[in-house]
Amino acid sequence: MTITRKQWFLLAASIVVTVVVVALLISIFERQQEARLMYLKITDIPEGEPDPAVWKVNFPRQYEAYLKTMRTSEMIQYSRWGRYGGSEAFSKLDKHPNYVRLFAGHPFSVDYREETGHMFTLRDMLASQRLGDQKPGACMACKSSHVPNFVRQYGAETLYKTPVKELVEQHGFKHPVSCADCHNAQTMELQITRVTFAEAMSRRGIDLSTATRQEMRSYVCAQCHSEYYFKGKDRYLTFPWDKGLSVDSIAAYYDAYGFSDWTHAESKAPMVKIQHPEFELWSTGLHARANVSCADCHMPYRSEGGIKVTDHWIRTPLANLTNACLTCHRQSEQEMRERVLQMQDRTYSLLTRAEHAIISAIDGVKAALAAGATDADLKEARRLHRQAQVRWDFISAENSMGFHSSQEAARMLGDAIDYARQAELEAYKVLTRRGMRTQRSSYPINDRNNP
Amino acid sequence: MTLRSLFGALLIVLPGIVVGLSGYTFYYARGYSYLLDDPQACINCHVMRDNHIAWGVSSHRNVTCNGCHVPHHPITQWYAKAESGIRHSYVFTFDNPQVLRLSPSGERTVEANCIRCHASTLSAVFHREGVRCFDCHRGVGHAF
Repeated sequence: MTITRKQWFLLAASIVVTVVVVALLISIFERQQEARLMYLKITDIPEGEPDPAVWKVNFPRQYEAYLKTMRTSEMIQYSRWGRYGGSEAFSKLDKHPNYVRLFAGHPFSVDYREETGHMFTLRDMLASQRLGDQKPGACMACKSSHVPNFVRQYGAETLYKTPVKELVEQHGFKHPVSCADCHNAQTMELQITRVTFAEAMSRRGIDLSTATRQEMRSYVCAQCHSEYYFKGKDRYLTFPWDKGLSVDSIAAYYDAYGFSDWTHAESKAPMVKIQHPEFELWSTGLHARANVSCADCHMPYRSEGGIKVTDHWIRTPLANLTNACLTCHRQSEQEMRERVLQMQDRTYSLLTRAEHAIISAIDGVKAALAAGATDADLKEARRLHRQAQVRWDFISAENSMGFHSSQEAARMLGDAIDYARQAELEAYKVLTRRGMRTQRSSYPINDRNNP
Repeated sequence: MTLRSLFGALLIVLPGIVVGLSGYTFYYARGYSYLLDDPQACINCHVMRDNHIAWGVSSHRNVTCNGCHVPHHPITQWYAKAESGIRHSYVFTFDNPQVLRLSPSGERTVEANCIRCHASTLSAVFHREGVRCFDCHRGVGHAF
């Protein structure tokens, strides 16, 4: 008797069903195991280990993602979406020729670039033409994962005083910002490794030992993504937060302290260069109010099978809208992108107007100087120039083009424009008062400043 | 042993294996729990954990998942469970979704269940067509 076609079919069907059921069972089993075995401790990581490759053994997923912060070529595409920078180090001076005049007399008028990814922090700092090879150790404070160990051993003051060259050549600093800068090697808990931040917070009366995990998810970023200055003769790295985090509080702090980074080469005003005040601007915004941390958008959770892991590819949320925004916002990716870009476009429009207004102020003071005005005559105009530029720079140097707190950004740019025009007016008043005549050569403002 | 008798044995054994394996898979994946009303069933797998935690501290923590997410009709509730069960199995086996969204039918179900309980309140409220309760009352069941 031969085997019928029906029997062949039954056999084949049984085999197929068995394979499918086993595959399903294994898939379910794998997912459950993944969820259980998220962390496999293979090696002991010494506290403060600067080399991320050592941490990789226990944390391959995080390491792999972190390496992607080197993907500048891919980020160019993202920043086309973002439009206002992403991770390619284009020269801001080429893009905005006015910056050369706005920072006249300061190293930023020589070399001023958009920043790249975290894995490039050390390389980019070493390559910067600002201060050449005369960089003080303070420049290293936020550029290398060797810093936590060094500070533990020798103290922060020693770090700030030791030249960068010496740190690299004699102390072997070679790794960029990485694992040890935010994590405790034993518990993986987030921890503050930069004393500057801890000192500034304690002066504000905030006890970091009681910080929640959610707060720490912003605080570890705020260690570096904040405005700072070098205090006193020893150039001690300090955050100007004693009066508060708003631009007005920070400006008032600098005024009270009588601080200036440099004297403006054209207007001779004592100036302050603002540096990436992301934490400060964010803290005045809506997301901060809703308790959304830096990591929630810049390092959102991603599902990898049964595992939920914090995406260590730190980058613009515009390049990762689904995970970064849509977890909370129910709109589509398209809608979220348009909303963000609209906020940024509006900020950029105001920023450009402020930039032009400050150039006009500088022209005014220059004209008065050329006509023989004294320092006493120009004191007020220079004060106003300083106030205008601090506010303009707060948004220009900040890395979200206003998004982190769009209304506050618009408010301070409005103030910047007003201060700049007051400065310009003040300069021309000086000319008139002293009977000096000059042609008013204001910077041309057209109505097509909008990008 | 002839080919035929081997074949005959296979035909008996293989369906047994299929039934046994299927039964075990159903048990291992706690398939039976989806036929019940216990919200624990929704965190059999990890993807609903956050929603489950958020639900536990929400104003609707005394209403089960099924209370809002499954139709309250003796027949369609089983259809809805089967339909989403198959879809979830497929998606979480072959895909890796990063954000979970209600399907259009899921939205209709939730909306109907809002009205089912809150009808007396709603009788005094004018609602424009196409606006759903949870468009504004977000997070009442669970955040996100």
